Amino acid sequence: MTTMDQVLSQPLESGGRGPVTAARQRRTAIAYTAMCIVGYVPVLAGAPAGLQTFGLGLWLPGAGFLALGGAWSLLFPLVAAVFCVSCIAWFWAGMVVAPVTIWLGSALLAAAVSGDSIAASAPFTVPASALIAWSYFRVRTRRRRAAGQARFQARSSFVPRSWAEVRAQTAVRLDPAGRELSPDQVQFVRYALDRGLQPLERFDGFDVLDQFQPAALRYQLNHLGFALALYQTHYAPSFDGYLGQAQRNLIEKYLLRRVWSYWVYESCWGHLNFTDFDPVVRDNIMLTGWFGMHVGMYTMASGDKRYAEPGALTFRLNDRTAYVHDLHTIAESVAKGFERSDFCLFPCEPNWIYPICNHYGMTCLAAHDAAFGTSYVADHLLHWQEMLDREFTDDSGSYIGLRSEHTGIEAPFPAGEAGFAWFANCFAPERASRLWAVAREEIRPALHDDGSGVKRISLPGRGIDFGRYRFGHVADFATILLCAREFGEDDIAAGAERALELDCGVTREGGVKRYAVGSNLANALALQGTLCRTGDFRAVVVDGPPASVFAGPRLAEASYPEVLVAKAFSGDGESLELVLYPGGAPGAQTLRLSNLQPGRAYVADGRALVAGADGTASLEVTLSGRTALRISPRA
Amino acid sequence: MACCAFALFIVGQLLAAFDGVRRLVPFGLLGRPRLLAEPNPAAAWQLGMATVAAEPAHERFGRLGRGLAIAALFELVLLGAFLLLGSHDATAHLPDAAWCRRILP
Repeated sequence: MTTMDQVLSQPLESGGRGPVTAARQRRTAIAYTAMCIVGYVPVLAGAPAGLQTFGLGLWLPGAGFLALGGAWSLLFPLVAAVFCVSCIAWFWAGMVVAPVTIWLGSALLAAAVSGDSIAASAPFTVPASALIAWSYFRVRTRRRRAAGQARFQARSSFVPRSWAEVRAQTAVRLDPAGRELSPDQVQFVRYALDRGLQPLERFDGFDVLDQFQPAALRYQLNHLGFALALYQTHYAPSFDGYLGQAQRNLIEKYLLRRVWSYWVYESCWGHLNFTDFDPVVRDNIMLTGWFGMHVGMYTMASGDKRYAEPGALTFRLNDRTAYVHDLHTIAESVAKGFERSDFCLFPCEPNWIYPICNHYGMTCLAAHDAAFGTSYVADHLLHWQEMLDREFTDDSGSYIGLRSEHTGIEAPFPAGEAGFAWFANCFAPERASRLWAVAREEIRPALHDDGSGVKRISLPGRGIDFGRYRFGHVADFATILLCAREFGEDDIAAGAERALELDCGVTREGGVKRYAVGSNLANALALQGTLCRTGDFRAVVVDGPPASVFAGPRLAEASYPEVLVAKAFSGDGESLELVLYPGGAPGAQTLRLSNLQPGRAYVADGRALVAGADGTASLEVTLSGRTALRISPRA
Repeated sequence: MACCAFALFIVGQLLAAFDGVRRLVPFGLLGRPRLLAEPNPAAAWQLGMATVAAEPAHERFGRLGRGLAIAALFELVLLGAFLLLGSHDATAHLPDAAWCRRILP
């Protein structure tokens, strides 16, 4: 039985751990106990001081210096602090060797400087320190579990009602024929188009910090791609032109070595692999899952399947080495990762399994299934969800942030339902609506009057914009906006939009809207939220635009930024409806149409138009404010 | 999000801790906490515009100054520990400390 059979996930029975986690933690505990026993043998045997120091150093990082006594003891907290830093390096960049090196290295160093004997109290103080550390973590875990169980009880009281409300409101979707960008949305879409339409090797307008964690270029590229796929699917599905070019540029920028070469380093210090740096073969779902989803969404939105061709997504390391891939091999890598891992979910950086990145991975498979008729989701979802429930769900019923694959240890981070729900909606809509049923009730208390009679959201603390590691709530508001829109929660969405407008430095310069205090990643998220309406994100991944837009006339070319497209839609497969805005001064612009019936006569805004033998035609229009026109076959 | 929820958690803790320390250090030697998030030059970029202005020189020197202040504080802590614990030959107990004496004064 899975927790999907319950209204809310039940707290886990085996001490808050699934069987795989419990086995890994047992293995870790056995290894640690063995280290302690082996480390204490030299003390019992009266071995030379150096050996005793090294042995006691195995009990805790830096404990060797504690064993030396005197002023050397001052190095114990210092080494412990350095060990914490090495653990950060471990999950920040998959540097598995860092904590091991610090722990063993400090024990060796202490042994090297030891004198004739260790401190008399050392055989007691070192084990006592280990006991204190263990007790501290045990007490913290117990408190956290108790708090989680109390939260579970509180949630149980509102989830059935809330879940029913979410199901009802997500049943209503907008008519695709009536979708059109507002002028404000047009200005915000330009933010993504500007970044996508620059030359491939340029990253102007991106935050360029580290390439390991959330500010990495790859995540910015992915989310800008998601935003443009939303725009194309729901507002301009009959538009190729610069919209297609911008999306392809974002995909092809991803293939540049500077974007993915972090994997060269992580392979070396995480997998101890110094020869094969193929980013698609092992772990690295933060690349395969995200990028596969990105390319899959482009494929669905545009109907363009070029990236499924062999070698279309080749990662070139240097003149001699290239890792040849395409959308199929990337999806296959994700599916194989699920099959190979004991946890089913598999790591991003070597060792660390993030449920959120595995949601991107499953969404990648959903997009691939929709585009190519495969059955990856049907083949893997049931087991994947069982493992998610058993191994990655805490006592409150929430998914945990991450777990160590090697040790089974969970990092104590409260991952929120809102961060998972919109992905889950792409492959498990029932579960997704349950996640949002929890999130909406816990977010709603943050809605309040902004003093002018309008509701806004306020969040505690200063927040962190993970796209540039600065304080700020832009990404938080953007995530809430996107998720609320996806599940038709209009009051919360409006509150998040209001908060963005009031707190996040909104500016509109040169016809482009942006949140000045936000990172590029946070702006991309906010754009997604601005474009999304009920069920839109799921629709990009699993439905794509209506078939009529691929059968009917298409807007093939228009100048950017002179011609801004608020709507391009063919609802009947024969005519084309356009709503355009001038990007600068009003005036005449030339459009190029394609996919017309060769030789057929059309009427465009009262003027006659005849398609060429190749099904194309040019059309001159005068843009002044909102300009609507319809191109339809002459009766 | 990102795959990096725990990273954010840790970074958040570090930022918050550093922010707390900054408030305690007099004269803003470690920089003054900003009450509002600062604008991001990357987000200001638009296609066709001139390159966003580079970071002003005084900002760069400000960061350098703060780095030096941190280093100076660290040195003061070490000096304090030295005065507190007294001076002694840390290698005296080593039977053959030649390798160590080569790098210690």
